[in-house]
Amino acid sequence: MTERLERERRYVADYAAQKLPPGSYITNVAMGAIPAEIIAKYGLEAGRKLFQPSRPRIDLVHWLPNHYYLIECKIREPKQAVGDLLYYLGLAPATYDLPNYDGQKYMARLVVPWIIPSVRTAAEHYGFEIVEFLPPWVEDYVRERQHYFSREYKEVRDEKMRLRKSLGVE
Amino acid sequence: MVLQSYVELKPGVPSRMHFVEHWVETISPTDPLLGRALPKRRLRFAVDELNGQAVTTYYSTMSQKHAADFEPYLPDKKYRSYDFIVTLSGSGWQTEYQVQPVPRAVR
Repeated sequence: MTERLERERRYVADYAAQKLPPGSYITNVAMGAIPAEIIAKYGLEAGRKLFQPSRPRIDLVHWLPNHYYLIECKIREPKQAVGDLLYYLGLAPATYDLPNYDGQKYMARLVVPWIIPSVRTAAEHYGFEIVEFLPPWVEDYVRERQHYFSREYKEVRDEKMRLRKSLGVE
Repeated sequence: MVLQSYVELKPGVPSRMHFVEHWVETISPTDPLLGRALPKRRLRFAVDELNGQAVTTYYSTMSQKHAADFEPYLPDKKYRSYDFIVTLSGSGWQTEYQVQPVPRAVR
């Protein structure tokens, strides 16, 4: 069986571990409020448990004394991250349980392996910080994807599939 | 010293753990939908401290997403210098893990 590799989450974890001060960040944080009607019906604790899985999640929050960073990391499709950051900035004031938030100014940061001009223009328009972070394993992954549809890669892939089929391996 | 076979996270309750060793194992649980065994990778840690108490137990995950949270800390067993505060929410396909690594010296 071909195993799916979890790259986006690894990218987030790598960026945080290498570039942020230890102990000043949390990954995969729920954003937005729990609807009042859910709390009214089930109470705060039960309502929270019920609704928590439906809350959108930001990749990373990072806190400093004066600033609170909302961080989205994307290896592919950085355009989406610009929209996500706008969305999370809108949700942040309504998120009553943001970890270690103490009235700091919200800041948005986009982390990508490299920045393309249109994404830079949009991110700068909204005042987002842009960070380019390119660990070696991401370079390898991107190279592999670039070659995915090439004739040579397709031939190797077809041969692998043929062998798997003939050996009865999934 | 508390002895327990594994760490069971409770939804919405943060658990602070200190890891001393790790393994990546391949296990073959039966898939409930397909009804046959499928090989899965499991990341397993030996835990010597749980919520400030000395313990001898294990924390393991088959979620590749959650395992990726620990990936930067596996080389040279860097996780030994950290506590990990893990908060679970949801269940099944909706399971999510919030992770905060905290250096041991900061405590």
